[in-house]
Amino acid sequence: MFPGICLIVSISMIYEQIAGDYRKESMYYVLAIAGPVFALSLIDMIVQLRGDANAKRKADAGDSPPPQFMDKTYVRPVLAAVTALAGVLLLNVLGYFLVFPALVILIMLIAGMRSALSISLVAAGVLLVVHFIFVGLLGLDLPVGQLFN
Amino acid sequence: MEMILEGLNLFLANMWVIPVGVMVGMFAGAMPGLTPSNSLVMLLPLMIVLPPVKGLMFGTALYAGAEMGNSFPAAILNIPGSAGASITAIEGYALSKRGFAAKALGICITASAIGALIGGIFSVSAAPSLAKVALKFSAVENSIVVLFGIIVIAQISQGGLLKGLLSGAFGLLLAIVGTDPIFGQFRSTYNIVYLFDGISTIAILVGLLGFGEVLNQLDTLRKVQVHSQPDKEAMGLKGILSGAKEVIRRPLCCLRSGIIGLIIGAVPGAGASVASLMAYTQELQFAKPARKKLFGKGSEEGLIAADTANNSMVGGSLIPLMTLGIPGSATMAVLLVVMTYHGLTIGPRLFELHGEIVYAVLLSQLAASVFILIIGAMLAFFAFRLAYVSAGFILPIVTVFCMIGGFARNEYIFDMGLVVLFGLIGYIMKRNGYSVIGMLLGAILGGMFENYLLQGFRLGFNSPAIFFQRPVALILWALLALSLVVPWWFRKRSPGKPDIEAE
Repeated sequence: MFPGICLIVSISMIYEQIAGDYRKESMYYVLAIAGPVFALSLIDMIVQLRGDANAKRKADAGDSPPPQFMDKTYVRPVLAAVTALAGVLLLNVLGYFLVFPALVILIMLIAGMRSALSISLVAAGVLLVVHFIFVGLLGLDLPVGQLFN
Repeated sequence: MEMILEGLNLFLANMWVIPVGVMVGMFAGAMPGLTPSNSLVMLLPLMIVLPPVKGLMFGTALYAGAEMGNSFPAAILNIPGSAGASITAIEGYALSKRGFAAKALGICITASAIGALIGGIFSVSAAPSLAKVALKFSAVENSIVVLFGIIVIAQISQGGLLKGLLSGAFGLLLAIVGTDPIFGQFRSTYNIVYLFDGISTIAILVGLLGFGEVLNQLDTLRKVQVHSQPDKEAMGLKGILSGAKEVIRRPLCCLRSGIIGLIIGAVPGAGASVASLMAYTQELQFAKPARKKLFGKGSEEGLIAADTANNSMVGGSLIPLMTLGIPGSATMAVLLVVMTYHGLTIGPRLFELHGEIVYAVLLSQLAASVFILIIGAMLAFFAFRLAYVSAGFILPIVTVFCMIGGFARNEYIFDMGLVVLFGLIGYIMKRNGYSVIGMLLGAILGGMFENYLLQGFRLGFNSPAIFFQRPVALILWALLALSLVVPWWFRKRSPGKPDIEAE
């Protein structure tokens, strides 16, 4: 998956440089870095595909157990990332007073915590620390939310 | 000399942050789900708000404290807080099982303090001379040095050279986004206003090291099974003192391991796990046949070697950061970002322009060794219990702190989104054996690399030949080639040997 990300990013950056109205000198450095990234990610993808094909062939021949291309341990991290992203998107509207405790509660649930008391205590504790230390003491201008403005 | 005195003054004025940093580091090191780098990432907003010298001294002390804190649960409960404490878990826990828990803790505390002392003495004495040498480097040599740092990390990364190189190159690619330093044109900004100044390095750092680690921990989350409770009678100050005596009786073992830690610390990307493992294997070679049998079953020498190297590595990793501007580990990358944020000149000129700050930071490593001894002895019988805290409590707290860390610099909600995005990328990379630190280094040093490269071209009147004409540049190219060929050759000779995992 990572070489795929690298490939897309490098292609889009090369395209932007070629299609845009840029000075040639400015373009060289971008091409000098994006070019190798493109090549390396392509090689890496080919190596991985060949490795997968070899593993499948060995499994078909009965030499080794079938390869596990995907297991389900990624569910919790993906859920946590989606929750965090939703939190970021809602932060401007709902403000940190609602978003941060909700984020803490949801991630604790994703991590398998079930005690209502401990979940609410951690959520309240985090909110207090954020409000009094980061906003109060360090002066961070965290969004309070359009709903409450 | 004047600069050393100014540094000493600055150090004495801000010395109170060191015990705080060591204590926070020890707690963080003992807790599951917290590594030295992600605990520093969590406290990034604090380090940004503090004056640079305080922030950097705090960060260095925290790093030293966390490397020590890892040893508490490792030695008592067989739960290493990080990969660097795995040898401590083997030897320390074996000692604890034989009823010498306090002795094991005493060895860990004293050996860590001696390690920090060796690291501190070496960095204070050697860094200025190395900086003088580095000052003679022109833009040509500096650009090769940056490339060298990224390639060395790629070389020793877990998944092999190709994956390491791709990670480093992708980091360099991300550093391109923003405004062209020469012509002032926007590059790869896709008309997103928040990208006009480039992708925030703090967002990349916090995402990859902080939120990425949260996702990684969620993936591998298992309930910690603690099979044994430490025997209360075996836990006492007397035992700690006997552990300290064991360390003092073996000065050569401390010195050897300390030097190994220093060298490994100075190599970009190698880190605590490699340092402790190398010192341990080295000590195994030096041990007498009768003592050799004890390795793996609670050997005092093995434990001393691992813990000394673990902590002297901190001093060693400060050297490339302070002299060349290249961070030796993920934790040092956090310090580099703090330095960049405060506008300190990165690279060889740092000693010239902000020498007093550098000396204060290096001296804090020396002071940390004393505080490790005092605070370590005070917390020894309490801190290991933190290993019982479920990671489920800690991970959501780290997540919120990471969000705030990403937000703190520019106060853009967009940067919080970047933290999540890079966290996800970091998780995918770690899961598939790509080098997170390689990408991070590429992204952080990318701007510096571009500047040096363009300056080099100007020196050579736009001809790349200048990069292959100067003698120092040729030596650096030869070293770069050797760093690529030698590990490959060794791997080919011993195919069964596992790759070293960068921190």
